[in-house]
Amino acid sequence: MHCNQFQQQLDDYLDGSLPAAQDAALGQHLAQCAACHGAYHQALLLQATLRQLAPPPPSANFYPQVLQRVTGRASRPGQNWLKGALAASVLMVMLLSGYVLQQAPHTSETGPAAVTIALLPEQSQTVQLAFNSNKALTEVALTLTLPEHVEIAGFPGQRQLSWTTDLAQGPNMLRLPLVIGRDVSPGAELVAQLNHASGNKTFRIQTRVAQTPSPHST
Amino acid sequence: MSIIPLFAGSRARRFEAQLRPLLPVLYRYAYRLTGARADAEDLVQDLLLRLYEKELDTSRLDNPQTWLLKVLYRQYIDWQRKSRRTPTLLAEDNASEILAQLPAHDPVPEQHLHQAQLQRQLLQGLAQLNEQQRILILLHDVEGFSLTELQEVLDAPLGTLKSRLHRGRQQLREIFQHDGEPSAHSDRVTG
Repeated sequence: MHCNQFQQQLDDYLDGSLPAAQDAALGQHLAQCAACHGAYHQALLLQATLRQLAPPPPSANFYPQVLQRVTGRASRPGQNWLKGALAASVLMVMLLSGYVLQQAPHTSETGPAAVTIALLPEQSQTVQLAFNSNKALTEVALTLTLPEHVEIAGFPGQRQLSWTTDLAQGPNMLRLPLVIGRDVSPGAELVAQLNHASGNKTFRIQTRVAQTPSPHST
Repeated sequence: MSIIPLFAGSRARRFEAQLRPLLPVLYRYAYRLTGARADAEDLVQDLLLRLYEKELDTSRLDNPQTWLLKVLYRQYIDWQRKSRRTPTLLAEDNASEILAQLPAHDPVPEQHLHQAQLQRQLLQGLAQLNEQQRILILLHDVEGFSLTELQEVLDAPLGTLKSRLHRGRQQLREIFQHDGEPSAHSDRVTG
């Protein structure tokens, strides 16, 4: 092997990306050629020095703080590019009326007649549900049960989601970023249940694939 | 009208759990691109804001790290274009930031003094490379990203990256050889 061949392949040799036979040939040349041996060691030193170029660490507590800022601030008004992204995703607004959680304890009521929503397939579209309450309530357990091929964006594969929230007197808006699959069954129901010590309420929303963009699209 | 938070706590926790382990890589990568800590932090924050608003679920991605680095790189290109900034890799204060990382409790001060000198020469050498070469060397030789990974992240063919790397390293070696005396100290440095 000539020295210029060695020089040509030095980078691949350093990266360990040569086939075994070529790698061995370069190793053999290295053992015999003082000039190439020197060049090889210089290249090694250069790489070792490069690896020591550590960047300065980020500001103190940058990692937890940036996550906190982002998760707490992302929806704050005034960030124009966020507004744009948000507006594009809100394709339908639906108001679901009904008084929830009336006086009688431990009752189970069905909400108003089932409403049907049509969504474009395979993309996140926000559906807004409005729950009217005739008084402020705390510790209301809200459970969403999703039919097959309907997901809440960011929660893939989850058929049921439950969490506890408070309701104010009057309308309470819940924004649901839904993704509907093309294979959703006709009449598949999304069920929202509200459970409170004073009573229960169930709302049923039928979902289907929209054939054309909704006239309410923004 | 009142707003019912949609899993506000859960969503934030899930986002944090998914992204937190990747933040050091993202920060280091952003730093290699911008060359300044404040800019790197801004770049990472902007990326996270976009991801959170778009409700990204990294568990759906085959290789979240590569995808995120690719997005960050595009964001960097936009950021650079808009702000017309140039990386401050060799700004004097930045060099000081890097050199300040050397161990304070140095058992062999002369050796580290020499290494500090080599690093300064290296920073000057890197500044003489074009941006594409510099970024590639920093990501491959310093941060250890494979060329295969960088092929996707930087959206460039492998052959292009190899020749870019070869030219950059060659230039750096020439500068290093001319300015430094590495062979006399090669036995002191280990990878």
